[in-house]
Amino acid sequence: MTSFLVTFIQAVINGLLVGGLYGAVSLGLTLVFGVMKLVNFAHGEFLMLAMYVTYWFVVYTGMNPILSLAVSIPLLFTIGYLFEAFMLSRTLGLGDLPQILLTVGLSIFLQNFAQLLWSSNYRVVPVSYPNISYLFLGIYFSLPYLIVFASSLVIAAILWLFLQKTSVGLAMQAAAQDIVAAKLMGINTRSVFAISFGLGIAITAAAGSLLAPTYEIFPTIGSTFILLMFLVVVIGGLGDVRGAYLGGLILGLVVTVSNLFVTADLGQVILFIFFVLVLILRPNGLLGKMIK
Amino acid sequence: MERRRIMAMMVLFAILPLLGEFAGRQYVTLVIMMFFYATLASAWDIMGGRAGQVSLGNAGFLAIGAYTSTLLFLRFGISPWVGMFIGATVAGLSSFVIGLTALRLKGVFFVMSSLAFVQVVQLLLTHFVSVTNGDIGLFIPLTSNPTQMQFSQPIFYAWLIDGILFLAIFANYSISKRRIGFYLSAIREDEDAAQALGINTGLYKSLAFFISAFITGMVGAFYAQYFLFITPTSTATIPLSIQIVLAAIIGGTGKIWGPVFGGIVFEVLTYFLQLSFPTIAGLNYTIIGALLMLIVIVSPQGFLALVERMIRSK
Repeated sequence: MTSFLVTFIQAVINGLLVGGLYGAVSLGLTLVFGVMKLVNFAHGEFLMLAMYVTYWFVVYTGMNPILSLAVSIPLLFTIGYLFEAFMLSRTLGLGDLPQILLTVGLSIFLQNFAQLLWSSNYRVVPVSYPNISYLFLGIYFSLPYLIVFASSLVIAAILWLFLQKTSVGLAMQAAAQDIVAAKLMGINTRSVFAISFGLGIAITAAAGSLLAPTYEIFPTIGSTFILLMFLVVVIGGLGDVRGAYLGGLILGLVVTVSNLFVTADLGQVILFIFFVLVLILRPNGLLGKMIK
Repeated sequence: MERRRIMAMMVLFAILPLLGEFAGRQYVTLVIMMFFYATLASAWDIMGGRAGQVSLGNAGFLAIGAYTSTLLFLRFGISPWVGMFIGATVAGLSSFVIGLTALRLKGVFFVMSSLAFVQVVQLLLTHFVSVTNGDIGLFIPLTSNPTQMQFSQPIFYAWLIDGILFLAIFANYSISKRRIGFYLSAIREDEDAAQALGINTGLYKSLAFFISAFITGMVGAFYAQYFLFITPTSTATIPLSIQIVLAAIIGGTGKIWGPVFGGIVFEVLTYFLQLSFPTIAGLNYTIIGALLMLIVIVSPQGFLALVERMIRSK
């Protein structure tokens, strides 16, 4: 019994650590939805691009993978900004369908372009975090998880400060609350949209670069994350930045604890059933803040 | 008028594969795959175009149709001619799983749950190895016996999928002429307003989705019989779901002929891309992804609408 308890607590700890990561990769998705009311189906592909940026950065320079943030964040911000400014902005106000199709199209394009450029081989960042675990009160804390968890907290904190303390952040919040009122207050919503989209991508890029050393990287890795991201943001309430982080933690717990009882692939099925149930029963998120 | 056009097209589509007598086997394969995508796009359009609910889950219905008919045949010896309809019914019923969310939710939530549906179907097919043979997939022994829906001449496969295509076209036509068609357009234009006017939006969306899934399930059974080999990753995949949507979008959604021609154009396009760059992995879909974005930006009403506009402006 005590041994089960230890296993259980271990699963909970691992779940929370992994959950921080789930939260971090999903922050950008929920931010973009909050401001633009747009679900970016290509979000996972930006994560994939950031991972490749880190991979090539380490291969060519041999430096610490964390330094690749200096490349991946500005690069993916620019890509996101330009995509919004030149393509997405044309579909705003035309309803859901064109936006869904545009981002789905982008997702296919990026996945296959990555395959074209870098082949579908699995790649491993040559310098990765040392795989050590610390034993504390009978529970193992793995170093890669701790690093990823700590950086996810930093990402979330920076985003939070940005939204609260900068004028651009406040403009984004205003646009999220009431787009017409924001326009009337003299906010250039078009540029706010482009910046929001770029920022949403940049946050995901940061998470992707930090994750890259702990994953095998391949062109369709984004699609293995995208449903997870949807789940996280739906649990947290679409558009709710704090909710997304919390949603990540909840999801991390569900994944690791359910893995104690069923095999991993059935665990996935349970995850999706959970997703559909949340969609049906609490479409505004488990935390239940109403959003229009 | 429309009915006469359908008859004319039916004759034309039935004659098309006959030209294989001169053009060769490769041509018949092309025609079969043209009809294959046209049928899938046409079935998708009942939900996607008429009711405006974008399903990225149709590959899941195809997989359910394919696996049901194949398992019934392999395990119980039930002819795929019967299995096709049982598979289609099971696929149709499974649409209610996503439909549950569709009753309450709109737009992006529906897309997300339909996306999750494909993934769940794939995971289940992979997991229950004792029933579905898991990743290895199911082989159907070659008998070339027409009572088991196997033909030695590929042209019969062309006529078979042709038949399902006309079922899809006829379903679209019937819906467009009936009250449900108008209800679905109302739902597409403004779901809240439709509901306020007393339309039972949940019922009509579920019905449209059932019909769409039913026909897609039939195509699944055809797929299994044509290739005689199915795996979870050749049927229940998100890329196949996206191809179906893309085919419909190219042609233009919400019209009877749009998705049909979209499917044909899509297959011709991929066929020639494959022919031109057979060895470069990823290039086809890079182009297809770019094409999808381009169509949305340049002509959201579809490629056909663009051609029409260009002809008219001359």
